[in-house]
Amino acid sequence: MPVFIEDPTEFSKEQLRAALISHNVELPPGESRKEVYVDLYLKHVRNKNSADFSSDDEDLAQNDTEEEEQEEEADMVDLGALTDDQLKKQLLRYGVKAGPIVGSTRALYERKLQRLMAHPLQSRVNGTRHAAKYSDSEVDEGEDEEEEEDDEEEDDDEEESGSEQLGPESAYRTGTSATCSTVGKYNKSGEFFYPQCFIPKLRQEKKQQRQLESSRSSSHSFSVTQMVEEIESRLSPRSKPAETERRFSQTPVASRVQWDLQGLNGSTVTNTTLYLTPEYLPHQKQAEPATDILMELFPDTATTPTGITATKRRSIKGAAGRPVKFKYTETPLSPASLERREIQQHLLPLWVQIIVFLLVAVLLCFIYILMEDGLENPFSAVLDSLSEQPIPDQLTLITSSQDVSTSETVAA
Amino acid sequence: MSSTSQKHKEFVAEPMGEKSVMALAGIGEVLGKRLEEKGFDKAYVVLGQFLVLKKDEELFRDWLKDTCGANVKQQGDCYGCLREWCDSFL
Repeated sequence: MPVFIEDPTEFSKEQLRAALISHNVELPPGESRKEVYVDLYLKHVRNKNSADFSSDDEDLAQNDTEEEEQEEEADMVDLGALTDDQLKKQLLRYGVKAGPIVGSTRALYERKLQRLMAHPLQSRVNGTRHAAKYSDSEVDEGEDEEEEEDDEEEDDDEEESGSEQLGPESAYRTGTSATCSTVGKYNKSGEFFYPQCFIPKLRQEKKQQRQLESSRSSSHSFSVTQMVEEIESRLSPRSKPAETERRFSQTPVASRVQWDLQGLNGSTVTNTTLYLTPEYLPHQKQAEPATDILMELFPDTATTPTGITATKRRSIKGAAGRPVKFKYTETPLSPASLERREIQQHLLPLWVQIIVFLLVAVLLCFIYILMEDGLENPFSAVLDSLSEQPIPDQLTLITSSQDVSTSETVAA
Repeated sequence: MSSTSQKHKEFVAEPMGEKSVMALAGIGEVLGKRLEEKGFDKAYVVLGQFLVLKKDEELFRDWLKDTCGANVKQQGDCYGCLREWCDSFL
């Protein structure tokens, strides 16, 4: 048991508040003075410590908390009498899949059951909110409230995604998002934009308003999505059963869209997406007044039965007798020209290389000249003597060689 | 993305090993001391409790409040820290 030996007056106000909360004591209202906290601390903490030794609860003065505690105690006794299995079954009745009920977890599960029994209609989401409300010792209440809201929103999202009702929708969404991702990759608005080929019903109904609002507030680069969504909004109320047709024919359409996007060269991205996506709508929906919208948007387009058109790409230079209209940048691919280019790249440093070479050569010559004796052939003396006297006089040879060697040593 | 403290990032970056309970995000000296007195002297012991509660947020928060008197922010920080650590390493 933690025994705080320190004097409570030495605690800061925040510490006192935290301690009071941990002992389930109601805090004094508003910004009370520290003395009030100290008094409460002394009363309850000390009394609680003493109560552990003796079951004397009368000193807990606060009336409201006393009543609550009495009520809680009554419930706790009932719950305390349950075995672990029974407690688990009770929790399961409320839809809570409890984990192992061990020594450290038992109290928590009992409390949870008691909460569920007290508020049977509220779901787990509300339970977290209540838990947040119960702990009212906020040092910075503003920040914590915001965080609670964020947590609750996150919990809500998690709840929605985790609950079984929306399970198929989420699985559906993830499955189709993969197929539509390649088509929608040109669009920057992220996961909320689906190409015209596919709009999940639920998502559309839920998020359409949000999409429209967000798209309108965003920059002009998202005008594509805005226009598409406008088309969406005009089309959707007209025919809902056609959506199912669209959904089923999503994959062939997606592949076709991709093929066309690859085939169209030189056209801007926005133009292609704008161009193609509305095209498929009249194609799929037979009697479709959407062509009016198309005509409004693109008055110059040629209507073809298949809806596929190609823009003219840049003609190949000199091919098939076509005149050279465009001057391309010179990119010779022949190896000779490439070599020349490489050599030319080395031209500048080549000069430097030659100069360096010359310098080194001059230096070496300079060194050679500077040497006094020159690079004598060490055998020159012998050769000379051999040439002069074919039958060498040994003594003179020796003496002359000795003289040469001494002169050499002197010179060195 | 909600902001995570430096402590959180450090804890989540590597296996906790023998780190003290005060290495957990949201658990400072005071709370850490209280946890240690209760017997939760290492971070992995708190992790054990977290796992026994089946990583349930509400239950873990309640437990943390009961054991060391953590406020809502501290509870949230600790819960988030452990959950993210489990996502990476468990």
